[in-house]
Amino acid sequence: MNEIILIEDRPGRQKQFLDNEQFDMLCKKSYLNMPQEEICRALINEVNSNNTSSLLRFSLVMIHRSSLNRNGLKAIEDLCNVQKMDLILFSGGLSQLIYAKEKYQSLSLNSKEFYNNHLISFLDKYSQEKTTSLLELVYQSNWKLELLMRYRLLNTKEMLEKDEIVKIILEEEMKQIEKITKISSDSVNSEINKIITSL
Amino acid sequence: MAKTKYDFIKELFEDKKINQNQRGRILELASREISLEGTLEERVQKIEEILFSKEDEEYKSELIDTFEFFNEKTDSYKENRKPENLYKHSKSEKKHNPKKVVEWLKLFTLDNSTLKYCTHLWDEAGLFAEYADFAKRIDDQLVKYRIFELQKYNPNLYWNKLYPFLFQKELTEIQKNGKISFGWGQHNIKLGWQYPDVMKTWCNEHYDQKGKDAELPFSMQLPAEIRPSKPITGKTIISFEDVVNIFKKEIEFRDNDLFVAIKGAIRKELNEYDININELENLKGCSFYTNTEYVIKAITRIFWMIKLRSESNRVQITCNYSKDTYEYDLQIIHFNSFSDKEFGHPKLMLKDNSGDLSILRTTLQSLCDFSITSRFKDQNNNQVNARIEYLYNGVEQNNWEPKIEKITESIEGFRFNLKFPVL
Repeated sequence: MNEIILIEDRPGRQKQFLDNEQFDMLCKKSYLNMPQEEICRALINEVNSNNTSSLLRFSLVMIHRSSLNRNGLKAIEDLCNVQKMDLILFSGGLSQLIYAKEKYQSLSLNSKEFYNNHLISFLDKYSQEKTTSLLELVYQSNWKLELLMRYRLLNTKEMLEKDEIVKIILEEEMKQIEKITKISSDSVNSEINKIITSL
Repeated sequence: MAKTKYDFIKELFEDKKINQNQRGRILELASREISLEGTLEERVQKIEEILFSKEDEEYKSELIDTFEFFNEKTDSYKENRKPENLYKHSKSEKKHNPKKVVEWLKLFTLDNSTLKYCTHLWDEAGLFAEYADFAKRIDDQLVKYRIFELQKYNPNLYWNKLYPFLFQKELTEIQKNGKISFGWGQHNIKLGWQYPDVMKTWCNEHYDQKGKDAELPFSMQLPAEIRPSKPITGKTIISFEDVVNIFKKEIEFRDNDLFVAIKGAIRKELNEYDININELENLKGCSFYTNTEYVIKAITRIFWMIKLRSESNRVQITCNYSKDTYEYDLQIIHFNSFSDKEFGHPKLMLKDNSGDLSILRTTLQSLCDFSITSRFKDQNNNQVNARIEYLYNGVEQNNWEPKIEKITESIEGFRFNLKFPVL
């Protein structure tokens, strides 16, 4: 079983995005460690002081990005790199979803996207070692199809967009999808058809 | 010394009595006059120098009137505001201390501080009884952390970002006179926490004394008349949360923001230049607090400087974090381009406070340490490699004199270094 830790220094936010039933379910998950109040603060202080030893036993670390200072973030990234642990960073200030799997698998996303209705089923599946990508948290099991559909949409948007900065943001997201799915822009449509036919 | 036509134009701009129309006419006439001399770049630069110094003057004139903007009249309130009042009447002086500015900007992440709740969702029940309580606490923070001192470190960051978004309660004198309109940041957003009283009115109806049924300020929909007419970086601005997110982008580069902004500036200014895309990738993830608009302004100006020198089209841009010094070193190198000016050259020593380097020093004041490295000439006309520091620790005590350090190692061209602290 994969063990998971959720480090959230703002419990009010969980209650804002999750209903009581969802919150209670999360608390009861045996694979999930969810430190509260003083324990949570102490753990964050440890990480920000370059001490990540308390996180070693987990397969997936999910942490509020803004609770970390520059050193804490670097310490977590180094830990995940060395131990090949998965990492999810969430924050209200993140406006775009960023996924990478070069050094280790990581996902950065907005808090609203993180606390979604699929969070619990995703964690269940992850703990049972049945997930293939962290992107399933957002796009569920058809994440590849979802990403390719999104790619097609971004492509159209990019062609119509006049603001150079927005164009760059769209291009970057498209590049990211190309990297994740290993699909070039020419083969997107045929790949989508292939997946849909196989469903 | 005889006055030049540029001095005359500058004087006209500095005259507070001229109105918007007159200012426009002067600019038109000036551009006609300037258009007779020099290359296109030189003419554009001259107009910018005039406009830039005018902008600086507007901040100075604001400095005189600030205290009257706070219209609370109680004795205890006045007593509370004493440090700010004394400060405002002290001698106006500019200061360079990037760490201090980052300390102020990091207050927006300080746990349980009111400033944190200016930029973060109110996700704890009963944080503030009512809007008036929140507004008072914002004002208290201005005094407690002496945020008003920021105006001497980076005037634009204070007057065009923090002050209108957080503290402003009514129009400033210069706004009342119609010389400029209310609005903050690069996108001229027409709404702050305290001015106009849109948020106050909304909270009276939806938040104050509502307990569990209260709606939170971030969910407030913007009235049509103050909504930006166009999407901002692809997003339609409809709620106060969107406004808060715009403010956050004004004070911090986060994740890929610096990469995207620099790539945008390259496409606009250095599209034909040879810049290694893979090298640019290391700008991704560089996150730090600053005045993002002014950093990009400075980088764009550096690109203009590079365009003026045709020695080569190879440019390298990197940004690396140093664990030892806790700072990002943003480095822009124009290969095979050398200054070859004498050390005493007025444009290098910023003698007349004019020229691109002088504008860069003003733009980057208290945002980062700033230096250039290139080949110069000494008093005997010998070529010498050297670094000239324009913004550094102790520059005020050194009367803002550039610091020259001769170096022995070989250099690759003309290098700009901008060092941003991370706390």
